[in-house]
Amino acid sequence: MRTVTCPSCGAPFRFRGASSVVGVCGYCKATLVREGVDVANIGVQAELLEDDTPIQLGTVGRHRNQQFSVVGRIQYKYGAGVWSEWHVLFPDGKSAWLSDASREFTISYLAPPTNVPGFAELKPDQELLIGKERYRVTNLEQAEVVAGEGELPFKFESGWKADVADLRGPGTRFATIDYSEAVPHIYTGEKLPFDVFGFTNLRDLSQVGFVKKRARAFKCAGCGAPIEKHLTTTEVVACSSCGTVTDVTGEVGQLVQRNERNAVAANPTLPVGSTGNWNGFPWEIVGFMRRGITVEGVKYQWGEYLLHNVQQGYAWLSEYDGHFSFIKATAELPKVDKVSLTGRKPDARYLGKKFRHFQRAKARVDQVVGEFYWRVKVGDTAICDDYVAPPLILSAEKTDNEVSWSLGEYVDNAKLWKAFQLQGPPVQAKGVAPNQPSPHDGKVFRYWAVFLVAAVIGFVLMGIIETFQRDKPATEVAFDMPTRGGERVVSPVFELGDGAGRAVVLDTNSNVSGRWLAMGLQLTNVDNGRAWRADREIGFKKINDIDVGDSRDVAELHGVPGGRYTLTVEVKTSAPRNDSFVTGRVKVYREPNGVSNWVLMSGYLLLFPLVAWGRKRSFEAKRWAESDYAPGEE
Amino acid sequence: MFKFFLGNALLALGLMSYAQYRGWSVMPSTASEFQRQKQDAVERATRPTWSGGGSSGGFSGK
Repeated sequence: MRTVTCPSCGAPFRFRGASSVVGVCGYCKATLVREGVDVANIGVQAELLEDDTPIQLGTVGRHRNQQFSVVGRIQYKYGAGVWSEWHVLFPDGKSAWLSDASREFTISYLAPPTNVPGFAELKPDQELLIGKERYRVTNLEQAEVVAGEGELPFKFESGWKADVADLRGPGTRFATIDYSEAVPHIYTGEKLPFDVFGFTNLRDLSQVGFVKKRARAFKCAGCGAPIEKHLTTTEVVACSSCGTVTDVTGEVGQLVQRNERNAVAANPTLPVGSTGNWNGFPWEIVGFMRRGITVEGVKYQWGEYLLHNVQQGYAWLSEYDGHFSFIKATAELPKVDKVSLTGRKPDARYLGKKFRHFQRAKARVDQVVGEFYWRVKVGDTAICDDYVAPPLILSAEKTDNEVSWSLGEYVDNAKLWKAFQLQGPPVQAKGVAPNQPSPHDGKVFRYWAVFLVAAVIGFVLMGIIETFQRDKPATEVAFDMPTRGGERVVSPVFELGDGAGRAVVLDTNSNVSGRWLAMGLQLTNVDNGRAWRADREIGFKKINDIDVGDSRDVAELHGVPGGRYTLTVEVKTSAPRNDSFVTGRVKVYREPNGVSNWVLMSGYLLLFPLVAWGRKRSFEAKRWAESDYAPGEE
Repeated sequence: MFKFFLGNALLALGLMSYAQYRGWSVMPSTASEFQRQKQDAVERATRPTWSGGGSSGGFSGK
């Protein structure tokens, strides 16, 4: 650590890092360059652009259990706005860069030189091997230095431009390749959530970002109507009258794109400027754009609201046919399967979930209203791939210089209306959204489970009832008597169960052949003398010279209560008459029921899971009807 | 609908058990099934049979 005197104003300036080469005087903005033991003033540093970063010189944080201090920064400008690279020092003298781009924080360390393709050879989503890790190019930009403050490890000038490639690796891994030198500088590190750094000595977050009370007034570069900039990070404002896009980064608005189409046609459902609490943070809707795709000549449009929160940065709320999703950039790079075995485009994996590819389309910006942190223009296009795992939707947007991934979650309209205190009832959603949770999810299983339980219980009950009631033969009566008639056989007394009204079956098997017999069967209650009688014919008759009939006969008696009975068997007549004998047995038992009632019950209950399954299938069919995989689509 | 299904399942179980206990069945009884088979045999025996002599089918084209 070394303290020097500013040659310009005489104020003390302390270099904390041994590797720090440049310092910017905090009082007079003089740029001090260490030259041996001396310092030289090489000019006054330009003003930093106002931004909403919560980091400041002196902020302390931690990375991998090592504390660091923020000692300087370089502010850059690029196509998507302004970002700051904060120079941080660790107690052992090691330095790193902490980047804050719209609340996306990365920390990276200078890596050993590696052969990498030239900047012009890189393309978004291209895979590179850095060290032993595979990275994918996510962003290619030309960054311009705005200004710096504090102490920094190299000389820089305002307006100096550098080609920069951002890459994402496995998990939280992140890399930047800086092509400003002949040998590209490679920095590798991690992209981590704000909270992980455990920052202290931050700027007062309540005073950062919003400039509402002193919103800067501009004139629309198209129609001259008054427009306002509410956020320090806003790059452009799209006029609500004519839709013209005006650059508001300077003192006077500059034309970015003249539009004559009335942007009111965008007609956002949620007014720009609305504020509401969502997921525990206050959000403001600062911009709205309507985007569209054309599929087979049919135009489909949806709305995207840009939301801002000073701690969380930016988020999106998408609206399609009354369906809303809350969307944020992914913390890690999702993994896309290399091959698909289903004939579909490969699925994606993120947060341990599998997302099925839904659609690929070229989306175009059709209308814009409000403030944006990048230079949005009507007509901007991107190739969008959507992957769904309801209620989540994972989207990859690819432009010529960037691949960005975002994760959306389906939003309940009633909650949204309440959160943003919107007037009137929530809009009614039409159809099924790609990531709309199915109201049938998990329910079909419940239906099947109940059906199976009911079927098993029914089967057991049936078995129990049959076991106690049915058809052990109450008795068997053997007979052997002349066929001429006149004799009878009376069984011993036997017990007949109650049977709850079931019929009594008299099942006769005999040796009759070539003739028929008229038989009488009578059940007699030995206690009260009440009798039930069945007169039957058993045997064969000749019809067209064929013996037709059966040596068996089955009769049933109804209304026979339980009790003690005898069975009387007699032969009354026979044809042809002769003196032969007939022998056989009569079994007496209650009518068994079989499984018909159980089958009937199970069949009825089966309708419910089938209907539930059908409804689920129907819901999913509606969901996929607008995908690349609708029935009939290739 | 799920509660309706649960109610129906309980009701169906009760009805099935009661019908089983009382011997109600949608299937024919042993005796009536035996009689039906016997009647079928009689009908088969009394049904007139073709004596033959007809065309074996087809069109000769003459």
